[in-house]
Amino acid sequence: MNSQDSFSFTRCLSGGQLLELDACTQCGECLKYCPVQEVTGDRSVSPPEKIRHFKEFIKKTSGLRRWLFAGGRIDENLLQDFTKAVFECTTCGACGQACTVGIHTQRLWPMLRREMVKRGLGPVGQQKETPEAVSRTGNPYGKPSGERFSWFLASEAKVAEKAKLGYYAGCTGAYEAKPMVRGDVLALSRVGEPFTMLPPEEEVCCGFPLFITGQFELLEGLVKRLAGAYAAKGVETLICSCPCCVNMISRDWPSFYGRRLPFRAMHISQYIDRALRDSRLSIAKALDERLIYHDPCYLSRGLGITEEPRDILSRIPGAKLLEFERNRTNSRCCGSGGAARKVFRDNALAIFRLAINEACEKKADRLVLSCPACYSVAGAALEGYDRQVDVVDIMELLSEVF
Amino acid sequence: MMAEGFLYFLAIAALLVYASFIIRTAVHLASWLKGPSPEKPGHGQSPGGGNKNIRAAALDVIFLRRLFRVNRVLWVGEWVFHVSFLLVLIRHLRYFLTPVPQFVWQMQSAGRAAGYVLPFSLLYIIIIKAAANRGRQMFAYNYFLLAGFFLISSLGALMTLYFYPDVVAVKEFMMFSLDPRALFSGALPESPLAGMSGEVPFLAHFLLALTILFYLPTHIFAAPFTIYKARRRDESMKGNFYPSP
Repeated sequence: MNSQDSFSFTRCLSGGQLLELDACTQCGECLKYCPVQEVTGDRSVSPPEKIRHFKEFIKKTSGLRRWLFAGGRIDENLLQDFTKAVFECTTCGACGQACTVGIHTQRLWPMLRREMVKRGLGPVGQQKETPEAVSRTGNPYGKPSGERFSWFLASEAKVAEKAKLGYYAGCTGAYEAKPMVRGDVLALSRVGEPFTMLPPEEEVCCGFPLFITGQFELLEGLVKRLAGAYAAKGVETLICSCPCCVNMISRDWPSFYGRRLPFRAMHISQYIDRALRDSRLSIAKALDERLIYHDPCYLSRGLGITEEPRDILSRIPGAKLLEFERNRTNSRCCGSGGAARKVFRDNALAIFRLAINEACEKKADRLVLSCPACYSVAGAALEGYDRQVDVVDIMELLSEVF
Repeated sequence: MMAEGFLYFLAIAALLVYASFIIRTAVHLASWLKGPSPEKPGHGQSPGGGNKNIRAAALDVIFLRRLFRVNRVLWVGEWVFHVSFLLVLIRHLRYFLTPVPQFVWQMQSAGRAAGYVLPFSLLYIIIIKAAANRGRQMFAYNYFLLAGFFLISSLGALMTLYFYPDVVAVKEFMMFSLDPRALFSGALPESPLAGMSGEVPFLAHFLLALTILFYLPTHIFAAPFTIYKARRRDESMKGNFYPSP
């Protein structure tokens, strides 16, 4: 790395992303959709402000201004404020969805975070402990691998040694949203197609918490380890419960793996919906309830999967499906995305409580989720809150009506 | 003499603004062509292209469809602004091109009508933005551009209606400001601006236009490409996650 590179703010950005920074019109349309700004009222976290500041950093360090005036120093406080703003973001991508010029913010923010990490300014709070926790235990929570999922597999599911279908529980599901993983495994077992899993000590983090916080150092090793292990088991389709894992595997694993993956990734709702359509799975019981479905950001805006979960729910006899005002690719974040849940906990709780409020106003009996991060924040948000609604994962719900 | 000196100052200022605009655009273009980050991971897989996406993206740009999706009230003003601004720009080409192309002559009436619409569309946008969320949406730079364009277009409309400038003098001056050799040889235009009836409004109009050109947002060039990229991304999403069995 030469001296100029070490000074430039464009190291982590592609040409396309520099184009995106230049494309921002500062129109402010995205502000209406930023969940962090909605609950904090803090304008500095808003997408146009982040872009404006980052462009200023670039101009001062590698633009014409630097060439003409031998560069300029950037105020340390400004850098620290920017770092807080970019790490406070939930990377939900709602701003990008509303962006009038189509900036892919769900991809841009992690790269700006990466730049801050390279400068020693990020990550923030507990996010700093993630690489050490992953190195030591294989998961970002630092919990023993033995607690991962052995507690239910022996009695409730038959896992094949090798199979074309693989299931990856993911760390948040396995440690913080266990009923989700149990529901997934029960649903997969019910379909009857043999599926395999890695032993708990081998099923390590997919790398998303590291990627999203700009800490790339361990990623190549994790990806090669996991991809190699699933390939050795003959997996051709890898089912995940976590939309972030599916995003990471589909979009980013190939670049860390160095070549095309030997399998494809799929969200559990896609697989189960297909099984229901093909009559490989049927729903036996009715459910006289009003259900409201929350679209996870990385499933809807990240992967474009919005109809499969609704199709599953609409097949439950007696169930009435309600919609949030903001739904599908325009859904509101749960507050826990972007590894911000534990560092900016108050924001996460306040954001999810907006969903609770709306679910209560619409008289929903249950709020249905399909992401372990949403599930995890839901429990915390309901604690001590005066409005209550039952929260359930879509597969957990489905396992009640087989 | 004072008028001559001012004319020189104005022409040199214009030349510097044009040059800075070209250099700035070139520097940005070079950065956009930088390609992927030297740290290759983290930028995901490239979605596919295709003529279908180009056509759809062109329609996205022409009809500002992404804005239409999120704010239809604002879209009305923005679309009228963009179309009328384009027509006015085409009408202004007669001051910069010799001979004037036929299509520029053919667009004069439409450009003249658009010139009356333009300030109203900008006023509408400013009001809508100021009213939305108690002004939360307004960013200083955005406001500066809108206000600048509003003043320029209002002066333009006033010059069409009341303060008629000497168009021959204006054209001679514009050609003069575009020609560095003439500028540095000291050969002033034969029809000086000084003394014409619309001199002050024209000078204000021209200086404001130079200011806006100096601060011209890069999104004018970058946005069509990001809109195309977004279209490709949207279209390829299903291809990525719904592979054929």
